Amino acid sequence: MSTATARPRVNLPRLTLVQRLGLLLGLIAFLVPLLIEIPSLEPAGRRMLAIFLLAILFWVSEAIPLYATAVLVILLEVLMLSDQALVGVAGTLPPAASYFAALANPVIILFLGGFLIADGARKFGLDRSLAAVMLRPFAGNARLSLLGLMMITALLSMFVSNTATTATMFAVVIPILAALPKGRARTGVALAIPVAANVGGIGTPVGSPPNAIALGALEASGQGISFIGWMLLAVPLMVVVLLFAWWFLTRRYIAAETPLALELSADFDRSPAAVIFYLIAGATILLWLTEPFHGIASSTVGFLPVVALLATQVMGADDIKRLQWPVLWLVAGGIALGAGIGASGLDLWLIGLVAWEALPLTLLLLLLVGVSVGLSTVISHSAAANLLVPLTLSLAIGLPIDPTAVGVMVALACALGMALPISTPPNAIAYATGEVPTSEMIVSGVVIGGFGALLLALVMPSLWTALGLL
Amino acid sequence: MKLALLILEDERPVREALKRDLAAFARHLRIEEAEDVPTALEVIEEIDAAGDRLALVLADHRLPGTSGVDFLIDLAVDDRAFATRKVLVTGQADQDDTIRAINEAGLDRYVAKPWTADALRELVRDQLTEFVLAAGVDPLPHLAVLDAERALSIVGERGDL
Amino acid sequence: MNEVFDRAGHAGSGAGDRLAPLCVLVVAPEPLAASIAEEVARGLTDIAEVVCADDVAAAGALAIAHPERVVPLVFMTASPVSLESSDSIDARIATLDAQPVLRRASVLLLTDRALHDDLSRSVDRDRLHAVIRIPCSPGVLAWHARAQAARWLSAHRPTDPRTLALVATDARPVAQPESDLLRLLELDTQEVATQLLAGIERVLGPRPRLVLPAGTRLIHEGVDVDAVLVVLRGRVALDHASAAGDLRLHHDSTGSVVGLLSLAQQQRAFFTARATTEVEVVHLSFEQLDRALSVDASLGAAMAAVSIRALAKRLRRADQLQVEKTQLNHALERERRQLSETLHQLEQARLELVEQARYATLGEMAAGIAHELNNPVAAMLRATTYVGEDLERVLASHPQGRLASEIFATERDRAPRTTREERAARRRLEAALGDLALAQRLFDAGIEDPDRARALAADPPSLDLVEAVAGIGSAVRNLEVASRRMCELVTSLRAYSRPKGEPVAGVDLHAGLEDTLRLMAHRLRDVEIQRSYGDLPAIRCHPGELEQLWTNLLVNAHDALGDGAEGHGRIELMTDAPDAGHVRVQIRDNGRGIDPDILPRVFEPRFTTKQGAVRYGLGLGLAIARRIVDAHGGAIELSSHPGCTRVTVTLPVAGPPEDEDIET
Repeated sequence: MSTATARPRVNLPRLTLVQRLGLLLGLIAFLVPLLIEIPSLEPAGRRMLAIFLLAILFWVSEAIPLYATAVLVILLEVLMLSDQALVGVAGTLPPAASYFAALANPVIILFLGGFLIADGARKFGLDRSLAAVMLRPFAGNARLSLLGLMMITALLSMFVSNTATTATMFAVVIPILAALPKGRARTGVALAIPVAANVGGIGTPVGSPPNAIALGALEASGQGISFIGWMLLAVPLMVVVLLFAWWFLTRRYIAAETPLALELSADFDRSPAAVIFYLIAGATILLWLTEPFHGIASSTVGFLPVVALLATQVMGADDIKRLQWPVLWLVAGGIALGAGIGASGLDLWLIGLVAWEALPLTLLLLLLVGVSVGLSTVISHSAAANLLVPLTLSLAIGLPIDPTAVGVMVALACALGMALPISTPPNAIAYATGEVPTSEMIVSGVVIGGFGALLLALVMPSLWTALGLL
Repeated sequence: MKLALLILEDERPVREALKRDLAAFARHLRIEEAEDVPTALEVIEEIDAAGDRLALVLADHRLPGTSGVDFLIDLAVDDRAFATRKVLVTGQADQDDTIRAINEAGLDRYVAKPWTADALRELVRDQLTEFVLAAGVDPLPHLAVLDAERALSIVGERGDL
Repeated sequence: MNEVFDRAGHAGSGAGDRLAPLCVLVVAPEPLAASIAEEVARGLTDIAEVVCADDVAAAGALAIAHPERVVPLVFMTASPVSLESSDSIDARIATLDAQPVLRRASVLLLTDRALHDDLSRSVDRDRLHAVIRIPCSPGVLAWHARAQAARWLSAHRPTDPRTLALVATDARPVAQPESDLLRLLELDTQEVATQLLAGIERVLGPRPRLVLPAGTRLIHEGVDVDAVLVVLRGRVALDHASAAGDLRLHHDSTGSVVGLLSLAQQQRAFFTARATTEVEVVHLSFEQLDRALSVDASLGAAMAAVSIRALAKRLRRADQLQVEKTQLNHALERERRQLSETLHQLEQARLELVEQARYATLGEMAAGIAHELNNPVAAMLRATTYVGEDLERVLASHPQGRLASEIFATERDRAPRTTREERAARRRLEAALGDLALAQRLFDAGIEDPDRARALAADPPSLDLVEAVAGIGSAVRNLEVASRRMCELVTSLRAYSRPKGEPVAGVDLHAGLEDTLRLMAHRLRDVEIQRSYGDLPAIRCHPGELEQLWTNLLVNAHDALGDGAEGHGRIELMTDAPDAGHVRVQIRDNGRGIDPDILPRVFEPRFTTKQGAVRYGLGLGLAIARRIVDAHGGAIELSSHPGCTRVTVTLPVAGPPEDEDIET
């Protein structure tokens, strides 16, 4: 190569109208509570309200990247609501370190372990090989094959990010899709993967960020849930929604006689490093599932693979660098936001705002789930959870229902918003393959998401109570 | 933002044949033609001004006034062509020039005339994917013209934002 | 070789009259001079006057004072005149030589010293004729004076009566030698041999004469010699057998004594002595010779004289052989150089022939390929037309046939546009439609009118049809362009390789140039070609040869542009007719030019400016070009400086001279 080479140019993105509007409104919304006297709201509460409004507008409009809003929230809290605030207020404020600590919250650590295991699975090709092995029993029938595909996708998605699961499954499936006749069958298969990935994500605390956000918020209010505890709450819903989705998609798109040949070759890496990884990942998952027996917190367990994989050099600095830090920061921002709302007394003010008790509980839950699904359809699931989890947890204080149930419900509802290509990265991938028209995505998203939402709002609370999980 | 492909070839029939073989990409790819280097530079300027990215250049070896190799060498230091993949499409293999193209212009591929349509499409898809990976461009909007498996692997690294 | 004394030029010069006074100079300090003069005068009574001088300066003065005197001898003592004078004898003789009269004289040095190291220049210049030790016995100086005077006079004044008088006394130019040996040496060979034989016969009694026929070997090479043969009559040759055959060392005639040298060295004969005529010899065995010599001591001198004569003769012969050998070596060396030069030229000629053969082969191959390609290309060209015609008929029955036919015809007949124009037109369509991909698709189908584009965009089946026929249209157009181009190439190839024969009359030079340019189009693509053609008469020539000529010159010009040409290369072609009988073609390039050092050699075969690499048209390119021009009776010139190299070819309109036949 010659000595002089072209430099990459950092092109600042051109802001869309929505983004510009969001930026402007966000700043206005930020200033209003600070400038205008709000009755019955302490100065600290007003400051927190300003931050919260700013976060809402920025996250909804994506005026700046989601993770940027998250760190901005932390910074504003430190500058306005901590012992290092620029302008002090009456009363005691939490130390600045408590906001920064959101970046090392146990939930973040739990996620770190989950990410590292997921990355390792991809590094050693475990995800593809597992998919291949698990698809075998379903070969022969197109509809059954699709069920297998969805189950595997969901299973992977419980431990691996929804996006990575979708990307992996599409990499496997695209050649198979190409062999299918152009038309509905292709659409059906291409829709099944993101649906399964999105739904599968609710299965475990590490399955998707909203789970972590809810978990973090609940833990902050002293109502922590164990790893297996979360699974018991979420997996029944997951399985039912998944089966419904399969039923709906096959009826709508896959004719019974479709020649769908999902036969893949498994190629397990048997190198020493891979074997060590399998052992560590297996042990970690086992420890997560057996928390009630040994009592080690899931976040502590989540830190084990981090230490073990790095110490054995099965994974290294490059793998750490490749971790999805933006996601971790986003979750941290949500946790910090929740903490700030609690500390500033904003939650109490919010409860007092509306007479929630006047509404029937069922309607209230329907409303809650509906808003969550709606919001997460148009904005990022994580951002929606960031906004809604602290808010609803505040509301739950005054409701005749376990706040844990509310927090979990919001997190799960946020996973059901999948009617648009922009709703989730898995949807974006499916759309990018060119096999899924937006209209079909809306139809399936609304039907499956709607079914899930109804189930979640109407059935799950009673089920949980009946099972004695709460 | 679209990915752009530039065909630099002075003979119209060859240019048209290349374009026709790549017609399947045209929906997702901006395909531009130039018959000489000045026109090519104008095209690059237009691509840049429109906010698109020049992902791939298919350059003929012999051009009026200058050689395709010289153009590619100049392109190697052009910021507007950062990470742009460079392919020489030629019927006359001049060893000296080819060596120069590889060493000084960072030539990526060499297509001998006559080419076959499938091999050409395969190569273009492959090179576009290389560009997307090297330039850090979001592959999802361009997935239709990329090697999906490789492109999706970087999408998977993003996580659920 | 400074100051070599030239005696030849002085004979008779100076005092030229026959009776000019002879004067012998004695250069010595008094009183020694007087006694020497007296001694000398005694030997030269009636011949020369003796004059004394103190030193060389005085001697010079005397010579000037008496220009009429002829000075044959100068006696000079070695001891300096005065103690202060430290002149060496060389210096003093040089002083003497300042006078022409004295320069001619013989110098006799009288010395009392045992050793001299101050005579080198005089000896070197041949200015010392005798060295006499003094004091000496009485009469020695007189004898010396007389003998030297006689020798000088007979050499310088042969007609002088005093010379005659001197010589007449002894009936010899110089004094009769007193020793037997020197006396015998003055006799001729046969006489000495006769005397020797007579002496031997006196001792041994009469010896029988042996008469031997020609071819008889008298002495055998490699055999011990134990006798000598005195040849009384006939000729004997001495041959030496060598690797290169028998070598004739010597050819002796009557009077020689054969075998003497080998006998002298007591060894085997070095040569074979063979009679070349009938010979009469006397055979003397070693013992007989020994006895004869021991009995009569005087025979020794005769024997020695015979031996010395034989040796001298043989030595002269050897010297002569040496000279001959040297001359022969020179001649050989000259011939060897000529041979290698010739060989080099032959090699060049061979290479040129090989290259010509290559061209000829290439030409034949080109002709063959052209012939083979002609039919398929013609068929292709026709087929493209048929495809167009048949498609029109097919479309006629299509419901949207009119639209399709129109699109097809438009696309087939579309005039070439620059990509810049095409892009601008496409941008207009894009701006009108807003959908870039759709605009691209419509544009590729040849639709540029926005309204029509919008109409088609709303009617997908029509758009598909339009796209398809537009594709066929452009394919047919490209096919036609391509096959037409191939057609032209084939035609050019056939013209290029037209078999040679009689010169063709009425040839258009420009057509040939254009054919060549077309053939070379692939090589000249990156070069700008400028033509400025004048009005040329049709000429008579070998068109194929001329095309090769243009090819070579263009290749050369192109290669000169090849590396390091700043900006873009340009080749200019200029033609004109300088007079009614000639046409002129100039090919000029703006390349780096030819190094002035190598400019004179560019027309030499195998010369190349590319590190000796012989490539098509290189190395021999210009040489062949010149040969072709020469064969046409034309002229080719090349001038070059950086940025401009010009080759000028002038050809006669009348064509090659009648008897000339160019061989390619």
